[in-house]
Amino acid sequence: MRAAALLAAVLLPALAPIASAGEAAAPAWTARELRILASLRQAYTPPPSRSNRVADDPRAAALGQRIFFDPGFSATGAIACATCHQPERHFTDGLARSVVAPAGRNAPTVVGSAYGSWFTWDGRRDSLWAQALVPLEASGEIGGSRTGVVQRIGSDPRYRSDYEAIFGAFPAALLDGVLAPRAGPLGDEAERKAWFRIPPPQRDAIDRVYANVGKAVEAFERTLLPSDSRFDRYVDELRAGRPDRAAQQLSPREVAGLRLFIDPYRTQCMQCHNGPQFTNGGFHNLGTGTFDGASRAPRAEGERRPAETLDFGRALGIQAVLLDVFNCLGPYSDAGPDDCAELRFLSRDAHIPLEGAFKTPSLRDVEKTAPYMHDGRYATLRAVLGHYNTPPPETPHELRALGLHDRELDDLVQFLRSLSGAEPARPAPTMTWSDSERALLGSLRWAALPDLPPDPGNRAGDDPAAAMLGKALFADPALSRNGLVACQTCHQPERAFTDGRARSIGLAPLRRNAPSLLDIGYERWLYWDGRADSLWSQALVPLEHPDEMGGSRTSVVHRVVAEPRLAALYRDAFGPAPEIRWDDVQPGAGPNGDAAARAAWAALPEIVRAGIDRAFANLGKALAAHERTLHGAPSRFDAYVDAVLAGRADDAARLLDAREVAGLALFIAGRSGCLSCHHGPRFTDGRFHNLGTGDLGTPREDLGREAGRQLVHNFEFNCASPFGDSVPAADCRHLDGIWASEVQVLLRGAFRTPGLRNLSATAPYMHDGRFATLDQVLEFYRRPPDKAVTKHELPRALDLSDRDIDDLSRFLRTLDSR
Amino acid sequence: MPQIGIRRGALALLASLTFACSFPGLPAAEEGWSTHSDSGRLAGRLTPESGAAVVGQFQIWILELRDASGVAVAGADLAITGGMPFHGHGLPTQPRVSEELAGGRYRIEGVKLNMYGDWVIEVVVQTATFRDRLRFDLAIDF
Repeated sequence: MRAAALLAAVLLPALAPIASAGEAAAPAWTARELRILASLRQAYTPPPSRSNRVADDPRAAALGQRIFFDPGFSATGAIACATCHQPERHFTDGLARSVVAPAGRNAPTVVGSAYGSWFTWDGRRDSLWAQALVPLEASGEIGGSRTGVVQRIGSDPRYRSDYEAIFGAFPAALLDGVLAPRAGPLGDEAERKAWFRIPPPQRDAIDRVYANVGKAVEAFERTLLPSDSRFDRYVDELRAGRPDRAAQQLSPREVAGLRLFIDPYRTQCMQCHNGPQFTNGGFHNLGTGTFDGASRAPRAEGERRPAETLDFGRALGIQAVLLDVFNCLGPYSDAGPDDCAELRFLSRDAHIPLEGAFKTPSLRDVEKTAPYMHDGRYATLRAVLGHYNTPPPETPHELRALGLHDRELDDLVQFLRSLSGAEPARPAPTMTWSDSERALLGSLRWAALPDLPPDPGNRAGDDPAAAMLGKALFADPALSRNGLVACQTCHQPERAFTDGRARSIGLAPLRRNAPSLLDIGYERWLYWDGRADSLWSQALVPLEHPDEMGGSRTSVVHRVVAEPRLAALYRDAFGPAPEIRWDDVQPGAGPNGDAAARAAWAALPEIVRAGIDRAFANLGKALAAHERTLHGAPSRFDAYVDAVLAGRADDAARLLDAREVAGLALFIAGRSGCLSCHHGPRFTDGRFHNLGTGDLGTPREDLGREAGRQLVHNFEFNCASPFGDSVPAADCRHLDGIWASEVQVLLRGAFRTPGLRNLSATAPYMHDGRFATLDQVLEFYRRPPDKAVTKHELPRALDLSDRDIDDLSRFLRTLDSR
Repeated sequence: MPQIGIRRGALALLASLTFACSFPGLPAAEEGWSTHSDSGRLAGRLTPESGAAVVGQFQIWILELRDASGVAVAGADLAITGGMPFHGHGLPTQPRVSEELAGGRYRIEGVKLNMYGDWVIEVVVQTATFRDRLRFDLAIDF
């Protein structure tokens, strides 16, 4: 027997699809059933909020959004509305009962709350704005006092200016710290005493500002609306007469669940969960109230019952809303005399059924809002359905046992899951940046980029004629030994002047990654190891390098002189080319070639070598003049900072989303350490740092800056060279500095800090392209290699979560030029 | 005395027969929306101002009251209660008469039914001379 049961348990799930296929031929919906389905279809327009004249004002929504996410109002500085209503959890906190209010209830979603008439599980408030004011000053929740909240609005310049733009002048009588820091009629004894010492006219002014804070929060919350689910699309297809396409939206089992859902005999779901939001907005007794501090009911399967507290539900909610000074009929309401129907026709009869009755929640997106019930007692939808199927026998309630089978309950769960839509479109939370953070953000934005500094070693650096020659040279593969490799082979304009390879390939494979040339004119040091100290001198190296372009100095200069178009461009920029009898010059002659090339070079008369050298140096200066014109463009991040600094919060909110802003906050926070090296508008300190990537002591060893500074010291075209235009005593102090200021022990395996703009176009990353993705780079920083092995300068490990890493990655992509 | 009782009884029987066949002075209405009072003294008819009862919205309903002879009953105090007996709960709102209209018609505001199914609306009618009750059994469907 047991074996048979086991076999059945194994086989049944496998058979389910066959059974489902049979249900596809279920009877078509009747006209009445179609009317029922249509009555449940999503609606898009929440009813107006009569008591709040700014409920649909986008400026109020932007202000409310900032307040919603700002923990600065809380007593501890750590709790905001968003603590219990987290965007990533569909504006709930995923807890049975919210941690900040341990004696409280389950945090309901804010999404779709604009459709409701009553707020909190017992309906103790009759508007979203009045509701928002409760946790702000409730000691177990956000716990800012009424005067503290008002004070913050008045004293923070941004809050105050945004407030005044919407609600008019902030009351002068409340400014300049005249308010007791903690006072309010619902606070603790000291706060209440302080409140009633405030003269009534001033209390009224405080209440008015406080009400406006709630009204702004409501304006934000009204923007959080559920979107169409598969169920809605199913109904649309049915009503359009396309049952075949409807069948693509809901599976046969979901349809079976839907049939049960609307069946008033088999279930009673639609008694309370009716209308487009799947709620009647009413209060119903499910036998879940707790009146004696301890439920006598045995625990149901999947039930996570919290410590019991007395909870009479709606019976006390009615009393509370009638006493609320912020209700629809109160002095701070914007409602007219004929509004407030809910309050005017409120049933005040706190008869027995309302003791322990709670508000019917919407079922839209219900799978995202576990756990369930006013006290989060059920972890799963299946457990909730178990409650309805077999209601508790020992408490009064409105339910009757349903007698549904397990499979039917599962079908209902499946149907409920079809009610999920996309997350509400919402602007990003505009973080409240402190003054120092704002200053820091300002230092990172594009507008902070100074003019390109002149290169004293290159008089032609900003000469358009030189840049034209440089542009032609940059694209000319004939300069290379095999006629196939140009500068732009590795610096491709469409890839932000990189080549997309881990390590570039010229004539032969190279050992490092080609860096971007955008805004390269700002760099003090060129190459990953800084072996060149000017752009013009750097540009000369690949021309002759045997693994890059492999031309000889002689052949490169000859190509320019002999090619009419290049010769003309050269003449425009630098005047006549040196007069050389090329027939007497071996084409391969050059100081950096093989032994034969060097011998041929040495054999040339000094005046010829000097002429070729001068012309060669000019080609570098022309290439540099071109490269100095290669600029990135402002990014989304820059537009965001511009908006933040200009106080255009709503613009800022449109520019970066919540995750990107979180990544930015992390980027500038001490715990990520990013800013240590990546600062300034180009996000680089231009210095050399040891990340432990030099593979020291291995066959892949790259000494990085330790070798680079020796190379630049010996470089024939460095700042002190006679071919540059610098005045060495004035312009070349950096060459001495490399010995004085760079710390020897860290330079072995240190590489230049790259900028962080346009990272999307410049993968792979690091000096040797070892990381294909930004996430890998960030993961490397999170868990750097063993310090004992590589002697790097990174912190041991960063305290960053996976989500933090993802946020940082998202933020970095906002630095791409738009 | 008993004779009088019989006469009154006969009158009441006659009246109720009359009411059962057709409501004097009022056109026949949908089932449940017309009724007569416990004593048989009054006939009443409810009509949603918008034409049909809607779930989930505040509605204005009109109550028309006539006495047995078809005369409009004016100046009455009305107290409205009700609920869903099947579910053991009352009305979700507290409707009230907001205005007495001409011809024994009363404007009732604050009706908001939030469920489909069988509702009961009870109206207690009081005048200077009597107190009576009307019970409407309403089936609210799609």
